[in-house]
Amino acid sequence: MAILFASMSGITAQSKSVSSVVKLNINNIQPIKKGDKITGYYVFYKADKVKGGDYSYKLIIYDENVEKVAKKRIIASSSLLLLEAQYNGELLCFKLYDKKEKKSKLIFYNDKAEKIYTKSYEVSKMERKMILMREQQGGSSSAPSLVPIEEKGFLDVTTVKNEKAGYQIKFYPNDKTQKGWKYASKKTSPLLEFATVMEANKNIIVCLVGAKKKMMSQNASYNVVTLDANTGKELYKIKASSPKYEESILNSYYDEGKKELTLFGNYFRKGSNVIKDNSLGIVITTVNAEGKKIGQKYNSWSKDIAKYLGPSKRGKISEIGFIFFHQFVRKADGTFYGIGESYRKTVSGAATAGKILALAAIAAGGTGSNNESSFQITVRDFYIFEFDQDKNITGVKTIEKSVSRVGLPKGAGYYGPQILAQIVKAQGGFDFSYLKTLNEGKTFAVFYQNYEKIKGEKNKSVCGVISHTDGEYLIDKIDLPTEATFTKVLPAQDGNVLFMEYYRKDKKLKMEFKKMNY
Amino acid sequence: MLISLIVKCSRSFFCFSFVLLSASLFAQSGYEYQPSQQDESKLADSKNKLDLWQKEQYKEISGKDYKEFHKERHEHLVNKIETGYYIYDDFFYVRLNKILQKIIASNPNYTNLDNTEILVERSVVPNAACYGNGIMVFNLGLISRLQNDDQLAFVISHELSHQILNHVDGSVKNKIDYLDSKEYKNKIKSIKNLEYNNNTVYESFLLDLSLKSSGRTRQKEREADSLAIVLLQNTNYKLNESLNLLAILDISDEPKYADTIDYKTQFSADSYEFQDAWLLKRNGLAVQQEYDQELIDSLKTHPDCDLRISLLEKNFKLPPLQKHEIESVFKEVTIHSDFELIHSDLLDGRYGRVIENGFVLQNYYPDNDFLTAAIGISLAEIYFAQKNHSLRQFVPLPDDDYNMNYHRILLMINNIRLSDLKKVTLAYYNKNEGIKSTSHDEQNEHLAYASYLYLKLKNSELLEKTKTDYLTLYPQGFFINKLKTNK
Repeated sequence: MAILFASMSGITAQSKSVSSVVKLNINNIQPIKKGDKITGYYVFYKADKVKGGDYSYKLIIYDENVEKVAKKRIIASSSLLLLEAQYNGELLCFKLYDKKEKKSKLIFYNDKAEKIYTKSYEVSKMERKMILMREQQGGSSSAPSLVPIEEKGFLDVTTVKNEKAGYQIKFYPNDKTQKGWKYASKKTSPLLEFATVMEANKNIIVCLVGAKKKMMSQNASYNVVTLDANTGKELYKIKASSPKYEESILNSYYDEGKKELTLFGNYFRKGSNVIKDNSLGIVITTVNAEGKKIGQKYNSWSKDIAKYLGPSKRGKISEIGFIFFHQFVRKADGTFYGIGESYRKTVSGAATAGKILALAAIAAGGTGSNNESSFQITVRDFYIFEFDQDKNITGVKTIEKSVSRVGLPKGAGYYGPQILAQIVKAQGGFDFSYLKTLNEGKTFAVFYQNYEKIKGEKNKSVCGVISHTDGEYLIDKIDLPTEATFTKVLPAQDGNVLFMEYYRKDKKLKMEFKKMNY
Repeated sequence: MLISLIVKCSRSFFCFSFVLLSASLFAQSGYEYQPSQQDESKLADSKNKLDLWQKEQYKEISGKDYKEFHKERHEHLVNKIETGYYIYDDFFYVRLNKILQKIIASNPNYTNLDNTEILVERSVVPNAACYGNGIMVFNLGLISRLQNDDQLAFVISHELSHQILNHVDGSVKNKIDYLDSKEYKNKIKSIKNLEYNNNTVYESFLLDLSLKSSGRTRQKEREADSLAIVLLQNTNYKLNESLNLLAILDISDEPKYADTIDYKTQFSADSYEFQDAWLLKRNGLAVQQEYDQELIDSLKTHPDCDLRISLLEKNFKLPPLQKHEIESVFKEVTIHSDFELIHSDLLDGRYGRVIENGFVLQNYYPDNDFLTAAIGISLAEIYFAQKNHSLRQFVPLPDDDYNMNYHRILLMINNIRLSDLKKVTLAYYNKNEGIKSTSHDEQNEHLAYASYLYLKLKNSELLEKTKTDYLTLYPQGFFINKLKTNK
């Protein structure tokens, strides 16, 4: 029993340290999800050059404790990206994109990590642009294009070439002997159409479908389309408007017992542009199994919501700015909560100074170009909107946090609030990271990252969680380490987060789980 | 209460019954546990001897890497000695070193063994190791599973054999020499110059090196087994106990006690409702770990116990194995090991293990104050660790690979909210009034620390006074550092 005298790689109760990591793209380490649950992680990287000009890539699959369960080798061109990974309780699906071949590929693995089947397809020009944009954003702030349906299969949502650009939702079953299905926008549609899957379960799929004339158009119409998960046939379509108002749809919740769909969104004056104009408040719509609206609750900013914002803000919604709703959630007791983050357009001091310098340069005979807008977005506090089982607003909780600022590209200062929010989201400018339900649905927890400025102390980055249980809020924060070359916080199982720190000089990657208090 | 664990074996004439009788003798009478007291003079002697040996040997060796290895090994051991990882007491340390000296004295042909020494480590892992510089480490986790001094003697002889045969230093020297060799450097160069598959070929080369190394290590283990019997033949230790020892090692992955802990019953209280969801396992990635059994077997550093047993039987014509119970003189050794392991886990912050093993031992020693205090301390420390986000330094995430009792307590710690954990901890203290008391004598240090933590949970005004009392009563106490750094 001679001792193995190798130096331990710093393994403590739940931290792992990997040495000799020469080069690391931290975005190649991502979680594998099943709904809002984290079931594992993957690491994807280019390993070797192989004969014929191709490369071999390594895909390493880890369980929820970051224990390696499988290692896969994939041969492809020199520019393969792994876009997403999802787990549906039976199969794992990885979605990859080969930039050189201009093809996407889905690989399905079973619970023994054996490849079950693969699907490859050519990708439209618009889809290529979307993928590259997603890659630049680190993949985290876009809506997933790969959606698991529990123990049934996966949906792949892509942009396709029609008269203009359209969308396609394709279903791939777990059982490869079964036939999948496809639901798509009309090829002859004169509009640019796009779809996002809001909900997907064994019976029904709920999609938000938008249409507009051009890519940069600031006017769009929206519908909610529900599909039969078994056949892909359209069950019903609901227009996002009512006789009295225009509406936008932000989120949904499907009650499988009652077979009712609840839609959350904003409502606007009739004839308004839902992308450009200010909303009047929050609308919650209930739809029955036949697609008929059986209830609508309108909660106005100025009257219904203002009274919960506290005396200093009563009637002064304009002081808050706009609210971007990240998600709505239903708790086990039937109450609903909308998680919003406030933002407003402000003048950018730096951009203005730059402009002044540019003008001065022009006066002196130079070019004086400046690509920044004079405006910026200031992101402020969280607002959690509370609704009872009947969808009446019952309160608004304000959670104050440090202000952060997001620069805007030139010309963007004149965009409407909805588009501005999308720009901020694409740049990772909001602090919201993700939401989870815990404690058998009795708790929801909002995870966020923020840069805190404390008087008399050094500024610090924090990872925080706002949780709600039994009518009470709890806020918990952990300081993020700052000595590392870069850090990343990944969601983890239950109330945990996974801190990743990379120290370039030491070539060391450290991973540690931390349990947040909720 | 008789607990027997019948081991499944592939050999028709070998059937081993691992019987734990200690419970039947001690369940009624209780066990008065006092932690092993460190003999500072023995510790100092050990460290001085090590330093001296290191100084002498360092002069003799050459090569930068080899010197580095020597230095690192020495620093590693000294650090562990100084931080209390090893027990220097009359119970374990003296017993094992007496056996060692007896074996050495019975084998005068083997010289240069003056600096050999056994250190007893506070580790639950059922293992022992030879460091190659005369130091052999014996884990408490192994001692707690043995039945008699004969089995101890075999393990000691085995490790001594590694020392005599220069297995450790020889192996390290060979590895270093190979890494410095032209052969290795040329190989690396040729891999680097490949047009394709550099990393794949390199990984394959590394794997090949590991396989060869493992093969050599397994051969060394067989040699050590063999020489161990030769050494023991010159003593009056029973040779066939080596077979029992190997059979014990074969099942050492299983927990020592087969009891199942009912955490719901243990933690139920009137002040709150125990939630079944706390013990619920969330479904994660149900992907089976890929493994190549052949590769795993090839990478093993030790031959399978079955093979080791059959080799010894064949080569030494050992008398057939006979069933027996733990010898009465050894019973206290194993019981004391069980308690000492809980104490060691407590000192080292392995609070999940303390709770698990504390409840198991409470089945046999129901009124044992130390066990009650250890569980209370662990619950409180887990609460404070979670409050400060340092839980993972002490309690790992749940994993199916752990035994059921341990896995379930980890599930509970992972699932429970902080506010509920406080309720559970306070209820445990209220159920066991003795650990709340602030009146203690010198013998009840664990109770004193448990009561301090209780007051800390309650944010009591008496906290500072209790802290001062503890520091006065236990100036060399086990929890001094924790009290001084605790906020």
